[in-house]
Amino acid sequence: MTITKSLQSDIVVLGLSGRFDTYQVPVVKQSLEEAVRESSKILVNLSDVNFMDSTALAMLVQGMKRCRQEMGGDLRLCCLQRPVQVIFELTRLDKAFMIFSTEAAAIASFR
Amino acid sequence: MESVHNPNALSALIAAQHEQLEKLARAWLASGASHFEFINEHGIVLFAWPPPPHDTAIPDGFTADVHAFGRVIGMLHVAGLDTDRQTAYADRLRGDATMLARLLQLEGELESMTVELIDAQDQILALYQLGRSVRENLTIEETLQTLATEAAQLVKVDVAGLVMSPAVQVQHPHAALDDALIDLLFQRVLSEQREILLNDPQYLPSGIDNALLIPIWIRDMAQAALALINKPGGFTSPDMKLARAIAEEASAHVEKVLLYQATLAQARLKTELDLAANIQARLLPQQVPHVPGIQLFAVSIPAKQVGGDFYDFVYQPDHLLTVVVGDVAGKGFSSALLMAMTRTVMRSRAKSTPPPESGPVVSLSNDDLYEDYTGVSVFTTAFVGRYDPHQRTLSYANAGHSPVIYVPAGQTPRFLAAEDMPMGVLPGIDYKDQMLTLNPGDALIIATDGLSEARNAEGDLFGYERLLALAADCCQYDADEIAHYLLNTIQLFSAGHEQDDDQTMLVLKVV
Repeated sequence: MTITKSLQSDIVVLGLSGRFDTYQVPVVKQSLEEAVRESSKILVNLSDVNFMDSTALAMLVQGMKRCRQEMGGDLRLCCLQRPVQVIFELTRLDKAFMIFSTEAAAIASFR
Repeated sequence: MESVHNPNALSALIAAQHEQLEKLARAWLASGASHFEFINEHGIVLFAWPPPPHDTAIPDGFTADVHAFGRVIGMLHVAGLDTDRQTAYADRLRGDATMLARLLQLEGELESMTVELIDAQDQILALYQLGRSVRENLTIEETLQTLATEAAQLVKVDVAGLVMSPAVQVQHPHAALDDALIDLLFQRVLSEQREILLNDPQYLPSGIDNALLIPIWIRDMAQAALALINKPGGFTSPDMKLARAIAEEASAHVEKVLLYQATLAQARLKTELDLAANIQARLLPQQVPHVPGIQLFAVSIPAKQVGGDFYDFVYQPDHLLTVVVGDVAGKGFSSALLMAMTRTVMRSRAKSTPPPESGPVVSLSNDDLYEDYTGVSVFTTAFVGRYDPHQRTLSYANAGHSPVIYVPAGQTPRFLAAEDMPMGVLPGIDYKDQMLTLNPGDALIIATDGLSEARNAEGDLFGYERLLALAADCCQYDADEIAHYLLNTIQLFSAGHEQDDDQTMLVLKVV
C-alpha cells in the first residue's frame, strides 16, 4: 500500500494504491488521522485500489463521520475501479458516500 | 610453575621428597660421607642428614647444582669423603641432583595441576550456581540483575554490568559507567561483534582502571553485552575465559526468558481468540425452531481469527418467524463482543416490533447501535426476514448484506440485493421493507461474504456467479442438504487456502 497526499486549496487529497484490507488499515488510518487534523474536507482517490474488505470500508466510514462533524466537512471518494465500485454497490455504501468518477469533479463538489 | 619461585613453595616440595632425600643421604653416609645437604639458591639449608643440630661445623665437600623449572633452584652438598675418589663421587652426586630435579619437577607440575583443577572446579560450581539462581527469573531485568551480581563475584571485579539496550541495562553493585559511555561501548560491541578490553586508564573516565566488554549472543546475533569494570591487577587470560563462560551462560538464560515471554504472549492471544470463538459459538441459537410448512437450517464456521458473523431466529406465539443474518465488520475479540451486542439488540427489536414489516426492526436497531458503533469504528451488514407461515409471505430488509439468494422452485435463482446501507453508518435511516410471496419448493439462502469471498490456493475468489450457479444445482434438496452442498463445494474449491473469514449460512425452504 502506498499513500500519496496533496493539498488542493483546503482539500486534502489522499491517493491510495494496492490491496486495501485489514492489514493495510493501520497505515492508512494514520495518514487519514493526519489529514483530518489539517482539514475536514478530504478526498480519497481510489484509482489504484483493486480490493477493499469490510475493515477498510469501516475505516473510511469512520473518517467520513468525523469530517461531517464539521460544518461543510466531508470525506468523498473518486475514481473507483469496477471491483471496488461493486463492493460499494453491494453494501449500498454508495448511498452513504459522495462518489465521483473524476478527481476534478470531486474537488469541484466541495466548492 | 609460578608457585616454585616462592621459597616456601620450594621448601614444601623438598619436604615432600624427604623420604627420597633420606635414602640418598643414607647411601652417601654408607660410602663414608659425614654430611648430605640440599641448599637452596639463597644458601638456606632445606634438608640436612644427619638431622641437625650438628656438634661440629660441616666441612667443605662436593656440590652439584639442581636444575629445575628452567633454572638452578639449589644444590646438593656432600662432605667428609676421601679426596682420592673425587671424580667418581662428583659423577654420582650429579646423577643424584638430576634425579632430584626430575622428582621436584614432577611434584611441582602435579601441584600446579591440582591448583588449576581446584580453580576449575570452583568455576564450574560457581557457574552451576549461577545457572540455578538465574533459572528462577522470569523477566529480562531480573535475569540481568542476577547475572551482574554473580559475574562481579565470580571474576572479582568492582562492578559488573549487563546491557541489552541503552534502556535495558544493570550495573552491580553500583553504576560505574554513565549511560552515555555504556551506550557508546555497547554500540561498539554490537557493531564489531567482538570483545573489547580497555586497560589504559588514560582513555578511561576517572575511577575506571580497566574494563572488559564481552558480546552476548542471542539468536545468533550479538544483542547484549557483559561489562566487567575494575579488575585489581588487570584482566588475566583465565579471567577472560571465565567472563566468556558467564557470557555464554547469560546468552542461554536471556534466550530462555525471551522464549518464555513469547510463549506467554502467544498463550494470551490464543486465550483471547478462544474466548472470542466461544462467545460466538454460545451466542448462536443452539436449536432451530420447528415452524410448520418450512425447513430451517443454519450453520456458522468460524475462521481461525474469528469475525463477527451471526444468525438468529425469533419464533413468536403468533407464529411469525423472524430470521436474522449479520456480519460485524472486522475480526477478533472486539468483533465477537459487538456481534453479541448486535444480536441482543436485534433480537429485542424483532420481538417488540409489530409484524409484518422487517424495515422497522433494522431502523430501530440502527438507532440503538449507532453511537456504540461510532465509538469503535465498525458497521454491521444485516438481513432481516419475517415469514408468516399462514400467508407464506416474507417481508425483508437488507442493510448492505450479501449474498442473499432467492431460489423460486424450478426457476433461475436471483440475488436479493441490499436496498440500504449497513447499520452504524448514518443515524436515522429509514430502512425499506420488501415483500415476497413464497411457494412450495422455494428456497431462501442467506449467507455471509466469507462464502462468496472464499479463495482457492491461487488466490481466486469463489465469487457470486459460481454461488448462483451452485444454488440452481441444489434447489430440489432439503434445507440442510442445500447448506452442506454449498459449503462442501466451497471448501473443496478453497482447499489449500486458509479460511480468511467466518462462513455463515441460513437456509429457509418452503415444503
